[in-house]
Amino acid sequence: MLLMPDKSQLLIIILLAAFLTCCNSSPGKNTKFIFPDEDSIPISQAEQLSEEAIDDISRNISSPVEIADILQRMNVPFSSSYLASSIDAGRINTSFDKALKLGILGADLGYLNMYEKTGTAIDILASIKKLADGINVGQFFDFETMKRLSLNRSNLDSLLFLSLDSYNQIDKFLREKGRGQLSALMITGVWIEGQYLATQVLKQFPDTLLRNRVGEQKVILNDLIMLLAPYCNLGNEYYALCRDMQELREKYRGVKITYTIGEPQMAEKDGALVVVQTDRSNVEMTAEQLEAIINTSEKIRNRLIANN
Amino acid sequence: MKKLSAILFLIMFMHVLSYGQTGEPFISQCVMSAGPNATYLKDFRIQLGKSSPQQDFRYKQVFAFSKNMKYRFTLCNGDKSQSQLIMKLVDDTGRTVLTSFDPKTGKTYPSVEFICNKTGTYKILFDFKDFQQGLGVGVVSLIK
Repeated sequence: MLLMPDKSQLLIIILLAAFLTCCNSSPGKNTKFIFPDEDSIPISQAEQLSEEAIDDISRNISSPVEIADILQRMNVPFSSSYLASSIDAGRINTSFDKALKLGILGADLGYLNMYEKTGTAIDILASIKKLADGINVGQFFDFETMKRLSLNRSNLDSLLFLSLDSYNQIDKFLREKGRGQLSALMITGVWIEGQYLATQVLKQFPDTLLRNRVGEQKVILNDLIMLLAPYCNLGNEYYALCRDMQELREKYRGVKITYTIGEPQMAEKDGALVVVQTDRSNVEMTAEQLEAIINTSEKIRNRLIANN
Repeated sequence: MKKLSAILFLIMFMHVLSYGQTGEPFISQCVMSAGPNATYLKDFRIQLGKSSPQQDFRYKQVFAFSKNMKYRFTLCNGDKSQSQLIMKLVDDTGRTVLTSFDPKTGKTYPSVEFICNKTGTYKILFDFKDFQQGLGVGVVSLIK
């Protein structure tokens, strides 16, 4: 026989139901497969991309870490001159600037971590905290732990994990909460700063691997433009950013990326599967094209960090 | 009333404990298991129910991989998973570049290294073997 609960019992049951609901995460999801071919969708159509399609655009938060890895392989010394040190988080007012600069500083943090420059990383962490709090995503950074890890070089891998993981969580959170424009800005900031780092180093230290990496960014830039496209008309600052990215795309127009097809080679090594891709991408880019890309990347990045 | 409150409190407490077990420590452990020469790039947290056989893996994400870089995929299963977490990588032309599961032998690999020679956007697909229910993490690392 069922007993009717009294008022206090009913209240507890409601609270319990609410509690269980709020604490249930569902990280797994089934996204539809509507991946657009980069070069085939004009901006006018990209503005109408569905949320599922936007979810299927790559978001390279970790790209500066990969660039820093290449620089280390090239034996390029660390230089603080590449950092966006003019950013004063206390003077940034708009959500647009906060999100964009959160991305820029995130890229700098990745570069610093890879070069084990933990002292400077602590300063940047303080700015990142201010910016993250400013757009209400500070909860994804465990700043105390990150500071502690920064002080201990043996924990650099953990610091890198926490940094990248925090940015990945913010990206996911912003998209899920219908604040995709801020997520797109943050991703753009990360990419612009990574592009600036790669191109500035390339000016001083010519290297085929890094040169190709810059040329291949044509593919990633197209993704980024599609990611930003739905927000280009949200205001003057969004419009200006979209215009900048289009200008950079123009500089990439003549860069050719060709592909050759091959079958992947697989082998087992120490219980792990090792797969060597025999497909190849090849970049054709003239010195003039590269120079134009370097100059435009520098101009855009410096404009973005100048408006504090 | 006191008895009911105590039972409800216990349920809530147990729920918090079980939730904690599926959270960050599990992911950190998986990241750590990628090895000392691996730099973390991204993780994918997969939670799927049992399903009838599908044409393709159910959890899909996009990631950009770069030429001349070596990556490692580390696949970790939660305690309550009914089968192994498996993955495959598909390039932008729809070709399968790698899979962590050999359908001929039934062997699954918890770790897969990928030497990339074509920069581009790839789809990473995850599922649990035989479309069972499970909870797992797939970690992408850069190998130095």
